[in-house]
Parts: sequence; C-alpha cells; structure tokens
Amino acid sequence: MTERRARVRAPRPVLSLRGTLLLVLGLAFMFVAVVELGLAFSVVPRSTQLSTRSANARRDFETRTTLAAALNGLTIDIGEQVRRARNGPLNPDSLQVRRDSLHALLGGSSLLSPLQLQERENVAISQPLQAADDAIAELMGELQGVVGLLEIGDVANAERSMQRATKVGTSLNRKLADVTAAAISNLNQEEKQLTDEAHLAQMLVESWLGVGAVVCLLAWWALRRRLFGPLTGIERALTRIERGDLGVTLAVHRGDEMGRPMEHFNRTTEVLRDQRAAAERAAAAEAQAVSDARYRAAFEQAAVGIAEIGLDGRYLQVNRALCRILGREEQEIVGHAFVEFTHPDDIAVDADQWPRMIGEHESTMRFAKRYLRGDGSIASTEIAATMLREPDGTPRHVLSVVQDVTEQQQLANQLNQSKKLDAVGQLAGGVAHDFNNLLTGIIGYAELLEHDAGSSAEVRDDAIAIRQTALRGADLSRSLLALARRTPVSHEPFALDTMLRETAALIRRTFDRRIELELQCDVEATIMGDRSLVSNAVLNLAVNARDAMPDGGTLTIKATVGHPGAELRARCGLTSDGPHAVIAVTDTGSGMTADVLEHLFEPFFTTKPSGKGTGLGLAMVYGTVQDHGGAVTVASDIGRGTTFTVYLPCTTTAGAVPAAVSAPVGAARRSRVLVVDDEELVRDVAARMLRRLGYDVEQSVDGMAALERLAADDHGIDVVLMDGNMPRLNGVETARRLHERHPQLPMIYASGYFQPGWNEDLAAVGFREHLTKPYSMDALSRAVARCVAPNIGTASGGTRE
Amino acid sequence: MLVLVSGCGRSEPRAITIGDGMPRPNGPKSFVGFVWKSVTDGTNLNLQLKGWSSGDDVTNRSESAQAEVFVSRPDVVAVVGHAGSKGSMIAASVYQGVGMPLVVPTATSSKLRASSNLVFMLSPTDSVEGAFIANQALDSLAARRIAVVYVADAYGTGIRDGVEAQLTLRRSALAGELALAGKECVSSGNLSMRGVARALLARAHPDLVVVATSTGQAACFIEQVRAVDSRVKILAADSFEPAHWRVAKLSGGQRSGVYFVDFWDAERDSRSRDFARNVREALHREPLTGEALNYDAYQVLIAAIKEGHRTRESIAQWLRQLGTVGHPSFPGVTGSISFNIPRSDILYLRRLPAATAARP
Repeated sequence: MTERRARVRAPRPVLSLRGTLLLVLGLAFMFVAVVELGLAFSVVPRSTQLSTRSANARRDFETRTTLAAALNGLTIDIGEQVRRARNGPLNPDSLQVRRDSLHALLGGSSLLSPLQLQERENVAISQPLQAADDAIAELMGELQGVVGLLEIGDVANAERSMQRATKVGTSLNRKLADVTAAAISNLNQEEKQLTDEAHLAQMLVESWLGVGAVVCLLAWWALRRRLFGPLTGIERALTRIERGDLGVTLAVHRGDEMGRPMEHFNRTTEVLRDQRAAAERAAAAEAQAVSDARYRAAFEQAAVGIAEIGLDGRYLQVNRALCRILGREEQEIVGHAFVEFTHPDDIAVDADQWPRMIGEHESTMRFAKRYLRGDGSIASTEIAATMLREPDGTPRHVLSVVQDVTEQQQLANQLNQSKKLDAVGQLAGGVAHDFNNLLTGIIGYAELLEHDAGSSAEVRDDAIAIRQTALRGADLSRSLLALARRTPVSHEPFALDTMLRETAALIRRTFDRRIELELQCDVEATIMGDRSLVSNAVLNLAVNARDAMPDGGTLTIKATVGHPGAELRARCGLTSDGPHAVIAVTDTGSGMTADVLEHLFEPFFTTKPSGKGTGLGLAMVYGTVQDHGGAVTVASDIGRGTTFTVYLPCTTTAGAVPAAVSAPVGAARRSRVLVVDDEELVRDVAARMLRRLGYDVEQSVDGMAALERLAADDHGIDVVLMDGNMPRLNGVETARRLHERHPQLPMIYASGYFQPGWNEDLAAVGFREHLTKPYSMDALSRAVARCVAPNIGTASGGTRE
Repeated sequence: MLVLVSGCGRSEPRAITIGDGMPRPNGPKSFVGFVWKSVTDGTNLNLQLKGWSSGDDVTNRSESAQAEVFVSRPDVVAVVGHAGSKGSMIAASVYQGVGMPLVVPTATSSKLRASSNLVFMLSPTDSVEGAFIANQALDSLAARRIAVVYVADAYGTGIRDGVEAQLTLRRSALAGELALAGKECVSSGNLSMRGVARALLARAHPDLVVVATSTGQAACFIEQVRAVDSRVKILAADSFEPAHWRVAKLSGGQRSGVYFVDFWDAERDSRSRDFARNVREALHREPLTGEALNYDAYQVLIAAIKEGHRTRESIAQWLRQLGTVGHPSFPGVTGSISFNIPRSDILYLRRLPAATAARP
C-alpha cells in the first residue's frame, strides 16, 4: 500500500476550483463592469448630452430665426409707416398696432427665453447667438424708438432711427447666418463626435463580446480541465468499481476541491482492495478447506475405488471402496506396490501401462485388469488412471479410479451362456420333432418284438438292446430340449433325499468300482420342480467327477439346506433369500484350470477326447439349475479336485409327494382308437401297439382326414390319438373342430415338445391326455386306458418312459 | 477664485466648502476675502470657499456650467449666488436635482422663489417690492398716474406685475407701460430711448414713472424724460445703483424727483453699523446693499455649519426651520432672516441725492 501511495504523484497545489471560477467570473464581471461604466459615464452621457445640445441648439436657432423673420417683416412695415409719415400725420391707431406688435415680440422674445444651458457652454454657438440676441434687442429698441418718434411726430429722427434699424436688421440677418454656419459647423463636429462615440461604443461592445467569448472559452477550458475531466474520470472509475474492478486509481493532479475527493476516492479504493484481497484469501482458504473436506469425503465415500499412487508405484492412500475391492484392510495396502495385488496374468498389463503413465506419454489411461483379493478370489476391474502434476508440470502422483466390474463380467458371462444355450435350443428344437418321431418308431417296433411271443430269446434280447439304445437317444434329445428350455419341465414337489438316494444307487450300479461314492444326505427338503431333470443334473455332475478321476477317487455328494448370503445371491443371480438346498458334488480328481473354469458350462465345451463326451452335460446342469431358480458354482484346485455346488430353492418341510403312477394295465374292453399322424412310421407303430393292446385302430394321415372320418355322428371312434404337429391342419386346431362337434370324444395329444402350461389350453379343445414322444407302449396303454375308463390312473400330466 | 482657509498643525478635519456663485469677472475680490474672513474667523472648522473655476473665461461661462462644477464636488454643501433672477433660476434647476441649498442674496423673482424649496432668498420678491413701490408712489410720493418702464425679462416683468397688482388692490391702474429690449440707449443720441420715453409721456401723461431696468437704462431714461418734463417723478426699483457711473453723470436737475428702492439700511442697528464700519476700515469705501446681503448669506450658512450641519440636506433643513417655533430667525446685518415668508421689512425708499460719487 505504501509503495502504491508513493507511486501516486503528489497533487500540485493550485488555486482552488472555487477560487478559479471566482477569479474567472470576477475578471469577466470586472471587465463587464468597466465596459458598462465606460458606457454609462462616457459614451451614454456624452451621446445624451450631444443629443440634448442638438435639440437645444435647434430650438434656440428656430426661436431666433422666427423672431428675426417677424422683426424683418415688422421693420419693413414700420419703414413703410415712416415713408407715409413724410406725407402727413399717421393714424395713431396704426402706430398703436405696431407698438402692440413690438410689445408682443418683446414678451416672447429671447429676453424671456434665455439660451439653453448647455448651449451656453458652446462658445462657437453661444457667441453668435448672443450677438444675434443683442442685435434683436437693438433692432427692437430701434423699432420702438421709430414708433415712439413717429408717435411724437419727429419724422426726421424717425427716418434716421429707421435707417439704423434697417442696418441693424441687416446685421441681424448676417449674424443669424453666422449662427447658422456656426451651428452647421458645430453640428458637423458633434456629428463627428457622435460618430466617434458610436465607434467607441461599438468598439467597447465588440471588445466586450470578444473578451466575453475569451472569458467563456477560458471558463469552459477551466471547467473542463478542473471539473468535467475529473468528473468523467470519477464516473469511469465508479463504473469499473460497479463491475467489481477495484484496481482503478484516479490521477490526482491538483489539490483542489476535485483533487481532494479524488485522493479520498483513491484511498477508499485502496482500503477496499486490501479488504477484498483479505476476504478473497480467507474465502480461498475456506474454499480450499471445504474442497479438501469434500475431496476427502468423496474419496472416502466413493462407490468406486480410489487410490493415490506414488511415482514408485506404491499406494499413498486408498479409500474404503478400494479396500473392499481388494478384500484387504487399508494398512495392508498403503505402502505396498500395486503390482503386489495384481493378478499374475495381468502383471504384463501393469508392465505395459505404468511406464507410459510415468514417462509422460499419457496423462490419462483407461484399462482393465484383475486383482487378487485377500481371500484368493479375483476382482475384475476397470481402471482410469490420471497423472496429477504440480503447477509447474512436475508429476506429483497418479490418481487411480478402480471400478469393480466382477459382477458385470459374471453377468456378461451368464448372458453369453444363455445366448449359447438359446442357439443350442434353436438347433435342438428344430431336429427334436423328427428325431422323436424316429425314436417313437424304433422304440415301438422294438417293444413289439420284445413282447412278441413268437420271438426267440435272441430276438427279444436284440429288441431290448434296440429299445435301450433308442431310449438313450431319447435322453439325448430330451437333454438338448431341456438345455434349450424346450422340454416339458414339471413343477411338482419331490423329496430331495429320495431323489439323491435313487440317483446314488444308479451311480453305484453303473460307475467303476474304483470310484468310491459317499452320500451325505440327512436333510428333509422338498424341491418344487422336475425331479427327473434334477436327478439328471446330479448324475451329470457325477459323470463329470468320474471322468476327472480316471484312476479312481472319492466322489462325495453332500446335501444340506442353508440360506445363501447376499454376496452369493448377487453374484449368482439368486432371487430368493429363502432356504436353498445345497448339493455339493466333490471329486478328488485333477482339478481344472481357470481357462477351463471360464468355459465350463458352455455347450459342447469338453476337455474329453473325441467320442468320449458330448459337451452338453454341464451345460444341461447349468440350464436345469437356472430353470429351477437356482445357481451352480464351481471351485477347483489343480491336483486336488473340484467341487460343484448346486443351490436350489426348497422348503424344509416334507411336501405332498404324489404317488407313483400305477402300473400299466391292459385294455379293459375292445375300443376303437383313431390314430392321426402325418408320419407313417409313427402312425403305423402306434396302430400296431394299440392292436397289440387289444384296441381296434383306424388311421388318418392328417387333421383334415380325421375331420372327414369323424364327420358323421355315428363314427364309432372311442379315442383319438392326435399328433400335435401336422401340416395343413395341426393337432390343436383339428381337436378344436372335433371337440365342437363331438364334445364327449376323448383325445390324446402326442408331441415331442410339451410345456406344463399348455394343460389348460389342451383341455379346452378336448384333449384329456398327452404323450411325450417317443412314448412306450406302456405309456400309450395307460393314456388310452384312462380315456376309455377315466377312473384309471391320474388325469393330469402326461407320461413318458 | 479659490479661497482656502485651513487650520495648521492640527489634524485636518473633513473639508466643508461653500460655493461662491456670484460671477465676479472684474468685481472686488477683496470684498469676498473680507467677508469670508469675517464669517469664518474664530472657527476651527476646515471651511473652504469655492468660487468660479480658476482660469475659465468667466464672460462666456454659463451659470449652469458653474453650478455643475459645484454639484460635482461632494465637499460643496451650499452655494451663495447667483447674479440676478435669470441666472439664479438657471442654477437652481441644477441644484434641485442634487439637494444643493442655494442662498440668493439679491434676486427678487417670485418665480425663482417658487421654483425650488432649496432656494433661500434674502431679498424681497418682486411682488413684495412691486407692492412696496406702488404703495410708496401713491402714499409717499402722491402719484396718481403711474406708468411703468421695465426691461422685458424676469426681473422687469416681475416688478411691473407687482406694481400693477398692488395698484389694482388700491383701486388704481397703470397709466401706461413701456417694455424695453434693453438696447434702447446704444445708438448715438439715444434716439430710441428718446422716442419711446417721449411717446410714453405723451401717451400716458404720468406723474410718476416706475423704472425697472438696469441702472444704465434707468439713467438714460431719466435723461430723456428730464429733457421734456422736469416734474415727472421717477421711482427706480432695487436694481438701481446710485453709485453707477451713468447715474453719477446725471445733473442735479436731472436727479431731482428721482427715487429708488433699497434693501439695507446701514444705520438700522448695531450689526449694520458694525458691518459698515468694518467695510470702511477694510476696503476704505462705503458698503453696498448687495454686499450686506452677501455678507448675511455667508453668515447664515456658516452658522448652520457651526451648529453641526455638514451636509446639503441638513443645511437646507436648518435654513427652512429659521423663524419657526424653537428656531429663531438669524440676526443678519440686513435684519432678521427667515426664509418662510418674503422679507418685507427691509424695503427702504431712497431719494437720489443731489450728487453721488461714481464707483468704478
């Protein structure tokens, strides 16, 4: 502040603005006063005097001229009287008239009208005028004398006096002429004086105007320099201050009335600048504190992991989110190099990215990498790293924002899995119908041979082998459909322990004796779902374990009931937090690598030699578990074995488990069955199995043929076995038309693909039973029997061998 | 002429000046000095007398110009003068505008007195003098046919009007009158005066002629009258000066029956006698009436100043109050002075002595 004050040049002490204005105005006033006084005391009185003198001179001259003229006339008249008096006495009355005339002239003469005052001062005029006055008086005296002499009869003296009067009259005229000449001369002089005075007045007025203009210019210059200029500067300064610019300083050149307020203004703005600077520093400090607090809060409370990493690659500080991502405490992280927590397979990523960041090649980088959590699990992350620098550009540290994308990646994997399964389902669905029709024919003919009394033992064994092989093909087809969620999945409660024991029994019976099976199942849990599919899933896991133990080992199937944690539910997509049946299938085999684990549930993925596996087993397990709202996880340790854990929603109380389907029964009576199927093979084998079961059989090649067959009321058909998928008119539409005409006619729906939700729809169009292709003769027998005699077996659900 | 009287060795008080408005081109300047010394003797006032401007051509100097000189000087508080009614009227108009009091010693015009309240006349007015003349003509001189010869100016017409008015009051009338232009005696043989005088006598047959002209014309008229009639009485107005050289030339016969009006009696009282004695001692001659009036004019102004009146206004006020209740009249050498009424007690009828000495 002191320096700034020192820079402001000290104002120059001058006459005050008020004093300056007073001086200028005073000078102007004095000049005007002098001019006015000059005009008042010189020009105007002089002009007035000259004008008065001219008027007086004219009046004096006129008076005397008039009087002289009258006297001249009277002189002539009296002269005439003198001439007449020579010839005789005059009439006294005529003399009285002349005397009265003279008396009148005397009364109005110049003797009673003295010269005007000012005129007396003018010697040039007053002397001739006085001489004229004297001549007038002398003439009047002479004329009075002439009249008096005539009156007393002294004509001789009257003539003498008259001669003198005439001479005086002549003298009077001459003197009046002198007066005229003097008056003209005087008037010329006065005119010249008046002209001079007028010129003087004009010069004075012009001078006044000129000086007045100069004074005005000086006053304007002074006002502009001393008042308006500073005021404009103040206005501009105030405008800048209104805009927030306090850096304005007025240039003070004079210590007058304007200079002093301007100095106050400068000091005030200086104080305001200091105050604002202090306020700005305080605000900046407060803002910095708030910013630091906000940064600290944001740092600590951020949903993403944030870390400040030194240039040596060691963590300087980390937030809680990053601790959660790494599954470690803060003190376990800070001070350690980030490479220590990097997944071994991604260390190369660090080796590539870090030098680029430090080497100033990149200021901001985004990349994905994996960390090894404290519990050994892997955390997939996406990292945005930014190099923070000092104001001079020197690198300070790296701010790393770590986004945990493990879950998203898992979900993406699941989505990828689903897409693959959907593709498989599309493929399986496309071939299942024809494949099932073929299998229906193979199984049917095999059963006919098997039950043909005439067949030899070898033929029956062959038929049995054909049927079993066809059944494996049917399982394959069903697995494909199940994988693609196109197989009928029943939602019926079944006991977990029972299912596992039956499955375990199957495993013991079929697996190599070097595989030791250990079943731990002491829970009572009921699962709502497809018992067969779940059993198949467990069997597939067991097969996978068996294949992992080619030299034998221990296969453990352990069932428990528990509540999966939130983390597990979130990670595996479990929607229910209720009790879950936990089925763990553990082997002591070779274990699996991470790559294998990553593709484990993908369809057609297999590590088995060609011809040893289809690659659908674990995929089917995955699909079954998903269909039942559950999840499957795998943990593998190379060289020590693998554990698959299946989570299925369940109830811990034993539910109402349906009774087993009654045994196949034979035909109760001879009824007539119409088989409607567009596949000749299926139609023919169904007809032969029904005849073998004791039914009369008719066949229709499609729906339209069936409608024609059953067009009459008395059609003689007791049951219709209807293929679901037929050209021209499918099974459902055919059944709807038949049901409209023959509501009491029972119909059986046969198809390789069935959804449980279809039951009500099929019942609405007259179907009372359904068979899933390929069906066995036993299943066919039960279904037809229930239609012919409805009280036999259950009415809901289909049957399948 | 300028007379300065100032104190020496003392602090100089403010100058108080009285203007001398009497033109004295060839007049007895010693008389003015005598008068001034007389009236200012014994006072410590810084009194000054401002006369006609020094170096001016007095002859051609007008009354008004001199009045302007007095008016332009703030120290001039009053003026004494001017000569005659005509000149005084001219000057009075100048003084009227600035409040300058004018004390007039010898003028008699009633018009002058009525022209301004700042004019203070020591002489009787022409109406008073005219009435005095008429009364004296009828009573003292037993005249029955009175004619008037007057100069056709303010003075002459004033006297003429005063006489006529008084005669009318006395149930009489003018037997004749003659107005003169003032130049009837300039020609050789005075033919004009001869004619008019004899014609007047022939026409009016007066037994007394009142003459209100200058002393020279009056003497000329007396000569022409006495040439044809020795019985006619002639009564001259106050303008007649017995010591005038033309009067001195009149013969004893011509002087017989000639009377004139005077405004001062040297034997009136002790003041008059003292004044006359002082004049004789100082100037070695007999004092004149005009000089006594002038002396009284200065006396009355100095008295006002001595009483503390130093401004024109206060002096004029003081002069107006003379003779009123609480303000006694001023005792002058010509008599008791008060300006509220015309002075009728100073009129004296004189008979022209058989011989008089001519004063230069």
